[in-house]
Amino acid sequence: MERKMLLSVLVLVTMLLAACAAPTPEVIEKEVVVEKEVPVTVEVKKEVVVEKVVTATPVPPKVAGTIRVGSWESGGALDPWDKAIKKFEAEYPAVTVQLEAVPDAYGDKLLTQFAAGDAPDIFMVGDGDVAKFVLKGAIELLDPYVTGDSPLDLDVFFPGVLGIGQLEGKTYLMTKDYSPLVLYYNKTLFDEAGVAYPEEGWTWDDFVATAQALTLDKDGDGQTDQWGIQLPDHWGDPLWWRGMSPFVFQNGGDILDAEGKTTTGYMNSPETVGAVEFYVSLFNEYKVAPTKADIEALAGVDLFQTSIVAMLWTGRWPLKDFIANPELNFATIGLPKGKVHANSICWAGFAMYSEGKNKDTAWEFLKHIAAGDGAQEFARHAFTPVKSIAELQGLTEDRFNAPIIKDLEYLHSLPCFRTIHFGECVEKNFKEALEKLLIEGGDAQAALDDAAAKADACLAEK
Amino acid sequence: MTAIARLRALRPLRMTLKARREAIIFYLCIAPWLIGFIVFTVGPMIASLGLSFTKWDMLSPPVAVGIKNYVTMFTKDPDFWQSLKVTAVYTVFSVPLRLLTALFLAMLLNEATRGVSIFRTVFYLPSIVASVAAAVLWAWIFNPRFGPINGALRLIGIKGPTWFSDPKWTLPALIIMSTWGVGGEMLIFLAGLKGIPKQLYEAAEIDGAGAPARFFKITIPMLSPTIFFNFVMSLIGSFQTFDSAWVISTARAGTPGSPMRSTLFYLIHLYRNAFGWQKMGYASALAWVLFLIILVVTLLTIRSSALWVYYEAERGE
Repeated sequence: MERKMLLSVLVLVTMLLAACAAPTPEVIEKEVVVEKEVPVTVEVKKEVVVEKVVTATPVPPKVAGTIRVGSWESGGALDPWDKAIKKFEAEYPAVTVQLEAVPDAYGDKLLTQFAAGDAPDIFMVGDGDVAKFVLKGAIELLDPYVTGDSPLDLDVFFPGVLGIGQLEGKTYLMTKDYSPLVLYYNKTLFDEAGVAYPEEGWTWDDFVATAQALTLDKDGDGQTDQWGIQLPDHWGDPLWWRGMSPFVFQNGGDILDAEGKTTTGYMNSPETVGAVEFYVSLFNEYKVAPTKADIEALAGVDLFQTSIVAMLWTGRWPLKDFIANPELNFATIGLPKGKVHANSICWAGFAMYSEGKNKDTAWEFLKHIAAGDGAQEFARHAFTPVKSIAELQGLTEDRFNAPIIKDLEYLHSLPCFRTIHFGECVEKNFKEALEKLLIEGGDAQAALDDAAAKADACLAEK
Repeated sequence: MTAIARLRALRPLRMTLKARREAIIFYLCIAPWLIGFIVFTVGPMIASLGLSFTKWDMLSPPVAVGIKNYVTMFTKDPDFWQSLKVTAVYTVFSVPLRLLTALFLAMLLNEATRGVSIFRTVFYLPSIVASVAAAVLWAWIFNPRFGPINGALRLIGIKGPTWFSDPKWTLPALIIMSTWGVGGEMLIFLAGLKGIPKQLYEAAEIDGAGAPARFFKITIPMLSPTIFFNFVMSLIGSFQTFDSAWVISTARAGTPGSPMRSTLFYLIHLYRNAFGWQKMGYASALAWVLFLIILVVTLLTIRSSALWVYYEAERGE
C-alpha cells in the first residue's frame, strides 16, 4: 500500500514538473546556441588581454556557487568522494560541493529527478544506462568543454575505457572506475590436489579439466564439499549476463547485432548456443560449479576465502579483501581462451547533467575527479582510467593486477550500448532461456530460438 | 406556524452562530489529512490514470497512445498473466491461512488466564518487524542446509526442498511466511471474541452443546462481522504483495520474480516496468487494472456478506 502510494506520488510530482518544463526539442536548440557563444566570448577575452597587457582586469570567476553530486555508493566507498571534494573546495573556496549518496534505488531516484528537471550537476552512471541517458538527452555532451577555455587532454586516459563514455565518437562521460572479469585461484587447493596452476592463454578444455580435478567429495558422503570454480560472480547469480558474457564472446558469438535491431542469428547462432551449452554443463553436467541452490544453502559464506571453491570468476572488486586475508594464498589469471580471447568490462562513469544550472563549475569538478587530484582518491579503491596514476601505482608490474590489465586488450563491445531497450527486450529473454536451461535442462537451441523470436518481437515494437 | 416551518426559519440563524463555527473547526481539523489526501493520493491517482494512456520514459515528455497499454497488457504480455496467476494463487492460499492463524492465536489469548499481556505482545511483535527484515530472517529459516524447517524435516527422514531456489517451492514458502505477521488481525479477532456475550456460551452449555458446537454455532456467527472485515483487508493487502517477494527473489542479486517467474507478483511486474524499463505509462495502466481487480473482488465480497455475515443490530429489522 505504502509503496503504491509512494509510486503514485512520484508519478504525480514528476508529471507536474514535467508539464512545467519546456518541450525537449526547444531545450536542445537553446543548448546549441549557448555552445556557439562560448568561442565568441573567448575571442573577446583574448582581445581584451592583448590591449591591456599590464592593467588586465581579472576575469570574473565562473567557478563558484554550489554543485550537487550524485553517487550510489555507501560506507567506505564514500571516502574517496569526501577527500576529493575537500581537495576541490580547498582549491576553489567559492565552491560548495554537496554529495548526495543514494545507495538504495539510485536509478529510481535519478529517473524521478530527471523527470522533475532536478538531477545532480554531476552523477554516477553505470554502463547499462549510458546509451539510454545519452540518447534521451539527460547527459551533457563534453566535447565543447574538453576543447573549451578549461580544456582537458583526453590522452591522459587509457583509450579502451575512455571509449565506453563515448557514443559515435563524441565524449559524454568520464570514467570513474572499471573492471574486466578476472579469475582468482587458490594456490593452496591447487597444491593439495597436485594440479598445475593455470597459465596465460589456457583453453576451455584446460579450464574444465582443472575445475574437475579440484571438485572433490572429501568426506565421501556423496555430496560435493569443494567445487572447482564459482561463477560468474561471488554473490551467486548464475544469470548475471555481463559476468557470463565472455563465454559467448570467446566462442565467437553475441546476442545482438551491431545495429541493435535484431537478435536472430546472434542469440541463437551456433556459436552462442555452443557457449550457453558449455556454460550450463559446468553446473549440470560436469558439476564443477556450485548452483544457485548450493550457494543458497551456504548463504552468507565467502566460498573463495573459505576454500570451498578453488577458483572464482568475478570482477576485480574483492581483490583488496583477498590481499588483506593472510590465510589466503591466491593468484589472478586472465580468462581462458575459447575460439578467441574475449572479456567483458564492468564500468562506472561520471556524467554532467544537461539541465544543470552551473555547468562551468560542474566541468571543473568533473575534471578534478576524472583526471585531477580527485582521481587519485578514487584510484585507491578501484582501477583508475588515468595512465599516469596507474603507472605511479605500479599496477602493470603488480603480480595481482598485471594479469587483469593484460586481459583488457581482449574487451568485447557491450551489446547494451547498441539499443536502449537491451534490458527489456534482449537481456530479459536471454536470461529467461538461460534460467530454464539451468533449472529444467532441455535443448539450448530451441530455448534460444524462442528467446530470439521474443526479443525480436519486442525490439520491433519500439 | 408548524414546528418544521419554525425550524426552517431558525436554521440560517443557527448556522451563522454555532454550526458555522463548528463547520469551520471541523474543516480546520481535518485539513492536514484532507490536503494530504488530495495532493498525495487523489492527485497522483488522476495523474496516473492520465499517464496510463501515454508512453512515458521519464526522460522525455509523455506521448499519448490511446488504449494501447491496456490492449498490450491483455494480448501481448505473458508476464501480465503470469503475475496475475502468481498473485491469485498466493491470495487463495495465504488469506485463509492468515485468518485461521490469527483466529487461532486470538482464541488462545481469549482463553488464557495468566500472562495475557505478555503473550499478546509476543504474538503481535512480528507485525512491527519491517517486512524486509522479516524476509531476510525467513530466508535463514528456509535455508536448505542450516535452516530449522529443513532441520526438522531431516529429523523425520524427509529431505527438504531448496525452497527459494526451486520454482515449485518459492510460492509455498512465501505463503508460509505470510502467516507470521498476523498480529493486527489477531488483535481485531481478540476484540471481537471479547464482545461475544458470555451468557450465550453458558446457555449453550446448559443445553448440552459441546465445544465444537459452541465454536461453530456461537463463536463463528457472532464473529462473522470481524471475520468479514479481516478478510477484506487481508485480501486487499494480499493483492499488493511486494516486499517479501522482492527481497527473496533479488537476494544475492537474483532477477526480480526469479526463479523462473515463480515469484513474479503483480506489483513486481509493475515496478519492473516502471523503474526497470522506464515504461511509466504501461505501469500506470497496470496499476489501474489492479485497482479495478481489487475493487471488483471487494465489491463481490461485500455483496456475498449478506449470506454469511451476522449483524446483531439487524435482528429487530
